[in-house]
Amino acid sequence: MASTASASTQQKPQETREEQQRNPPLGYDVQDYIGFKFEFATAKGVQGRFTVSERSCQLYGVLHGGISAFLAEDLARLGAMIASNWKKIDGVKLSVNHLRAIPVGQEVIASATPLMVGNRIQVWDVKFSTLKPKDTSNDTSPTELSVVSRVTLIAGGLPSEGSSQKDMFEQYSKL
Amino acid sequence: MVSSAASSNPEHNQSEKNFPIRNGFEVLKLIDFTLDHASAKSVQGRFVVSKASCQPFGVLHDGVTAYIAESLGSLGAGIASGLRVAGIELTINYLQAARLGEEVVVTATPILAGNRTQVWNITFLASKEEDSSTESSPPKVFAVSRLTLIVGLPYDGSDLKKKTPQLSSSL
Repeated sequence: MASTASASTQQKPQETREEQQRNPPLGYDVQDYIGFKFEFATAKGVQGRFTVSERSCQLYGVLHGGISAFLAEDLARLGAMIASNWKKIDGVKLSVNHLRAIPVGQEVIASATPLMVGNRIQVWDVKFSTLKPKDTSNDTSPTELSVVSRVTLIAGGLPSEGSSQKDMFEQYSKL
Repeated sequence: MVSSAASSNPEHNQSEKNFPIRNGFEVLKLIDFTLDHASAKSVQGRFVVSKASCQPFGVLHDGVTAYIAESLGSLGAGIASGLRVAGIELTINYLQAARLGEEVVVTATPILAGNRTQVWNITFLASKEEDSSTESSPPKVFAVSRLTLIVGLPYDGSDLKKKTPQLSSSL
């Protein structure tokens, strides 16, 4: 893929270097486009964060619900691939509840945890949290839930079939 | 550069890649989605599975499917109600995977277009090709989805006056 060396001068130097070194594999174009960054990805949980921008908002200046659905599916699928030792994973069902509108500029932390990891079927829970506004009562947790989602996935085939996905993700995550 | 005029028109037909002016559909442009028509009774569009919309095995990314379902359902509900709508629950069942290069036709129709809530049904079908059609073969279904929305949230346009963070412009 051609390098994106013609980046605008408004970027920080760190981003320019990232984009020049990285050759994104299949499957991560949309995450890059909306600015989603993975923090960690293990068999027990996958987490990342992004800031709602013009690219991921809808008509009313809040996060597009489809973007949260996209990320829920993506994080759950990645977690399922890791938990199944990189078998081929297909999504079966996705259910997303949008609880709060997230305005443009707000940072969102997306976190997926497994509810059940079986040999064939996996069920993952994905939560999107945002920082609470400062003028609230004495709640101890700093974040509030904005989107909750449950993803059902099915694993098939042998562990070796998914190894290309593992290589691609490792390549993608070396930033 | 802001207008919600497109979404408050009762019907408009678009045959090219035209979208309402506010950036609600950036990712749809990224995956080369084309809107065929959008009305209060039906929203339809199509796209070809490409590199930007696939997941590592060369099949359509399920998350992109969910994104399109929510987009078209919200678009239809906004046209049907003429007010601000917000999706509150999205359910999608993935039945078959669409491969790279296949064209997918997405249709959203209302189950209920009420005053307080709306429920829209969105289906993802393979597009019929003229040379391979037979009388009795139904098109392949890739996914079915149902979107629940609430109608009539307030909107004052205050988000348009804020400065938004700029992402890097290249992919």
